[in-house]
Amino acid sequence: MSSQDVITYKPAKLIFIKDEKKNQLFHDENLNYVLKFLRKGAMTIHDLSDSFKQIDDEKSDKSIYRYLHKLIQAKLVAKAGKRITTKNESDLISETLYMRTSNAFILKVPLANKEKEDFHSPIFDSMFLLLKQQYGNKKVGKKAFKKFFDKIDNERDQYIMDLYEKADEETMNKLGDLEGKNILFALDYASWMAILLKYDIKAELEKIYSS
Amino acid sequence: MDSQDVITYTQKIVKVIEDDKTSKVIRDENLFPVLKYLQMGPMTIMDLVAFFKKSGEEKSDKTIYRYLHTLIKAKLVAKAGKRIISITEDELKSETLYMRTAKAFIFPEALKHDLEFYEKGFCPVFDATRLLLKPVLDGKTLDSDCFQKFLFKIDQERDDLLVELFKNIEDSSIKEINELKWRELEYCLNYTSWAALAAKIDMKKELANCE
Repeated sequence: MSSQDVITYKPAKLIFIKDEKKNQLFHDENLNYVLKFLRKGAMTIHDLSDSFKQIDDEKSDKSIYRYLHKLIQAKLVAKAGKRITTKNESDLISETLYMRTSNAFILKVPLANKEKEDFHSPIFDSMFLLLKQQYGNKKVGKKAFKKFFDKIDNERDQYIMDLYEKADEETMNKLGDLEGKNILFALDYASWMAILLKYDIKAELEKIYSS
Repeated sequence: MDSQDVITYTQKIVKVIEDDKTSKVIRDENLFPVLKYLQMGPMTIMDLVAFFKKSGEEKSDKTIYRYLHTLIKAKLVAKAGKRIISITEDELKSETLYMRTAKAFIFPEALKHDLEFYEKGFCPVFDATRLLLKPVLDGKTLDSDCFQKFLFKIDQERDDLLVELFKNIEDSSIKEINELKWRELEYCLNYTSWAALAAKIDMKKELANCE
């Protein structure tokens, strides 16, 4: 019995997940397992069912198919190619291979609705309340505060993409040794440190809180 | 019918959640509303049943009891006292009052849950961070030992800063912050701790020490 995998899909390096519904999918234990298993590479439904068995969790093909369907709809998984297996001279089977659409998904909390001029953002409001103790305890500057951190947020995303894009072989190997969530941590730390190198946040916030 | 609440438990202002199990309890969809309602003050099981009902969810007292049991085991809620009710001259009822163990629960980086790293004094996530930063440092590579020490230090400092900020905050602010959903809160704490750190350290100087 000889078999070969043919992959015709090219995954993205990094995908930001901003949609709240998609974010929810990551809370689902079974879907999370599927995404975790698929880290190893493209897999058929049978491969996935074996992976579930290895963690003492029996899942029917039907269940796995349902999980994959949900993940494909959310564009987290793709039908990536086929596994062709020759059983004997007259018997050839082909099975679909599934793949993550990206090696790294970055979950983002959907921020304020930027279309509105004076946008309401409970997250930034909370930050404003917490940080004002450090910067003069004033009530002014809320709007400028949101604007500033909205900018920081966008720049951080850009750093995350850039640093990942520019990572050399040594860095990629090091990242490859990490578990999924820890890759995101490393990117989180690196992007924050890059921001702190670029901006004098202390001076910016002092200005904002005294404006 | 006359009643009086007697509280014998002292609530903390902030509690830092350091283990994965407890943070999972907080994230639980059913338990989270209980913590939210208890923000308003100590409550009996029947009070909680009424709050759930108001929000359109029917929960039996048995169910609420089970939730509270889980929360008490996780040390997020405490039996805080009793509500004594005089029904008639010869009938007196007493009901247990439940209370949050702290006004605000804060979560340090989930990374802390890999305590192993902390015991060993070496964290692969930090090492990956060091390598990721190369492009913003014009290709310079930082010393691994020095960088590890620095990151362990700022991690601790960020947590300390958060605790400090929460300790001195006004009650009305805590209420507003506790309105955030779990993931929003995570985001808020991440941003706040980095912004607070920025006021304390000079990132450029610190990293230059590790060149």
